[in-house]
Amino acid sequence: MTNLLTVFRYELRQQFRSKAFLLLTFGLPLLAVIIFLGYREYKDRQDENDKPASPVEESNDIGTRIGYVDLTPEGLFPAPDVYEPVQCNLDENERGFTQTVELARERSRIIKRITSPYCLKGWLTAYNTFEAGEDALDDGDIDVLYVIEPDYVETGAVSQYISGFDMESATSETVLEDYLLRSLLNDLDSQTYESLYMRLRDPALVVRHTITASGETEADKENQNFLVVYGFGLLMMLGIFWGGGYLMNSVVQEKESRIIEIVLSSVSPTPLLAGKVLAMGLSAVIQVVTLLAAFIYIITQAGVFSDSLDGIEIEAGRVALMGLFAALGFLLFGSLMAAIGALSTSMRESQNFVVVVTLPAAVPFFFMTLFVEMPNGTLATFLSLFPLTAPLSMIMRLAVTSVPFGQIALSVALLLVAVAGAIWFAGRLFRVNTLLMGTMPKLRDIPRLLRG
Amino acid sequence: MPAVSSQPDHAITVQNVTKRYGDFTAVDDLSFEVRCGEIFSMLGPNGAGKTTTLRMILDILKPDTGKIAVLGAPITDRTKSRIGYLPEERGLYRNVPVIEVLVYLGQLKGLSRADATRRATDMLEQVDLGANIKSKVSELSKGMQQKVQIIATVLHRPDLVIIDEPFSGLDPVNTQLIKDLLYEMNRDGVTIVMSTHQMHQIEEMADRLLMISRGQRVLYGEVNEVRQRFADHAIVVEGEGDWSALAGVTRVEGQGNGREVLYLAEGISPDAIMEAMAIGADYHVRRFELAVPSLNEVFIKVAGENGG
Repeated sequence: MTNLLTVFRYELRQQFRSKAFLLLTFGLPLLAVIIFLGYREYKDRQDENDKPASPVEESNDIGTRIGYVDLTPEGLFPAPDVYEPVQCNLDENERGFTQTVELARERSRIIKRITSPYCLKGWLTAYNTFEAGEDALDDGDIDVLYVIEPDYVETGAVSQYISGFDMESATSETVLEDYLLRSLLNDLDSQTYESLYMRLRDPALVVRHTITASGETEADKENQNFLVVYGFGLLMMLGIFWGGGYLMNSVVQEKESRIIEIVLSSVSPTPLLAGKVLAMGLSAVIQVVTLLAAFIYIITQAGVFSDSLDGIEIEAGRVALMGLFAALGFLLFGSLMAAIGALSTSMRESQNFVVVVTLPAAVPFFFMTLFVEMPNGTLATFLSLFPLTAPLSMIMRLAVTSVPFGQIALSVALLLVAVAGAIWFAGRLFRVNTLLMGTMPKLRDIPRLLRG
Repeated sequence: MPAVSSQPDHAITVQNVTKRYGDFTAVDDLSFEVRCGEIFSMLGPNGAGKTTTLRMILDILKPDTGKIAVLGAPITDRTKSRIGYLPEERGLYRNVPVIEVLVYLGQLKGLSRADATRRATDMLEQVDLGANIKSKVSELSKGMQQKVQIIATVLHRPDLVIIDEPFSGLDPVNTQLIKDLLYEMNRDGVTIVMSTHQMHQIEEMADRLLMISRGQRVLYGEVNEVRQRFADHAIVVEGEGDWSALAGVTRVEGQGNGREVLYLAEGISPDAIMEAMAIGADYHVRRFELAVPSLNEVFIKVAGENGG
């Protein structure tokens, strides 16, 4: 046990001494964050320069100048600048308010303010008469003219006038519809306004439900699922390949530098291998965590994928199971990669054979769509039980669905047997082969080497 | 491993040990003991089974049959921390600072990090490597690396040191350095076992020897006793006189360096010849010694007889 800890500490210390490891573990995520922050700073400054002098002078991004004439007897749609001037964008404090549920009332007020008809001043020009609008269209002052007909309230009739072909008519139509909606709801209190405005703007958010084999229904969140499966799968792959690769390199280096026999005269192969496995496993975990932390920081700050990530909920129990499968996966593939290291006489030789391990580990990745669409299907189930593909497959299934307990138990049991076999295999080769073979053994030599 | 009877004054006891690799028998029913506090040497032709025997003593390999005791009992992790081992195929972690390598190897032998650091620093300074404590091994010359390897072997002050080909690839300065170190440790009671091809080193250093050929013991005992065993019934003389005229001398052979070997008839003692030379006025003798073969000659003779 003492020797195991000594090996563990030494290997970990050497990892943290390695420039390549430090660069990949801390340098790369840090670089990604620095690049992101730099880009954001640049973008903010650019936005600052591009910002209109006053919020009310919001620019018309589509480049189409829209005119309208309100012929309703009630004069339902006055010009935007008739409305009370308001601040049309969010200040720094308010960005936080909009995401805080407790401040719903405040949020409603802010939403009503920034969607005030006044804020479309830069987009729309009101004309008192059809003739005035028509003249503006003829003179090229506007690109499109909308006439809100007198019977609008009963019929919703709005006429559109354009001179020739207008590429942006669909967009301008959306802007006008939004203006009409804002104007119609403007007198409501802010909370009613928020709920009505949001609902009328997006009347139906369709969520597809799939009837599962067990007769239960699950909300279909395909995009989210893909993201989760891909994310967990990738992290698992990186963890296995990084950790396994470090382990293999560590073993090969001891052979190449011819220190292995000195080390084995002090410590038995099993604690030596176990110390290395633990140290390299922890190294891989640290790398995955730093990379994940940087990724989460960037997407949180940038707001990208925020819609896709909203609502992703994975129970703590399932996360723990994922951790278990990740650990078993590392032990399995790490041991096999250590065995390759024990069989090889040089780093180059080991690289030629590592694909034997990495390919089966990566197989579930090729079936990612299957795990997203039918996580409890026959193939997905088989892949999550077969030990070589189980770690990645089960993690991807657990990320998106509830896996029956029996399958989890069977998969863990099979994996445990495979892990025990892989550790024994690596340990036997580590002991005998390293000392006796100056060249890479042939396949037929391996049973003899295992017997010792 | 089954228990083995071991006398308290034996550092190593090997009893009827056999080790096979497939059809090849590397060590064949080998038995010997190494006494505490002696310098013991193993010799034999290439492939004779010396390294396999050492690896079995160190529990790196398991014997197929037979028993081995080290420092009074079958080897355990605790026993391993009382042994210093320097194999023939030896190296160091190349991209790691010298002090880190030594501290790690010391810790594997049971030293605390602080003790290992202190001892390694002291020993590096003793061998003029104080300035290289933080250098990476790859930055050291071959001779410097050899010194570091020796320090790694004895850092934990072992009771038993096993060195496979201790002088292999060493320059004369480092050879002397290692000899001095081994003598010093031996004076302090450390048992030294070395496997080597260099016969003159064995003659000079070892108390007893074991010669293995094809995995079997072919010579075993005190170095001088073994040489005597192979001595012809002859004397070596240097001087002037008609040696063949001496009564009891059957044949005279020139050695080419002014010395001649006088082979004696059965029943004639060297003392009788010396007496005859003293009486005879025509004999002037500058050297008179028993014709004992060098260990190298014994080795060649025995290895040749055993087809090694």
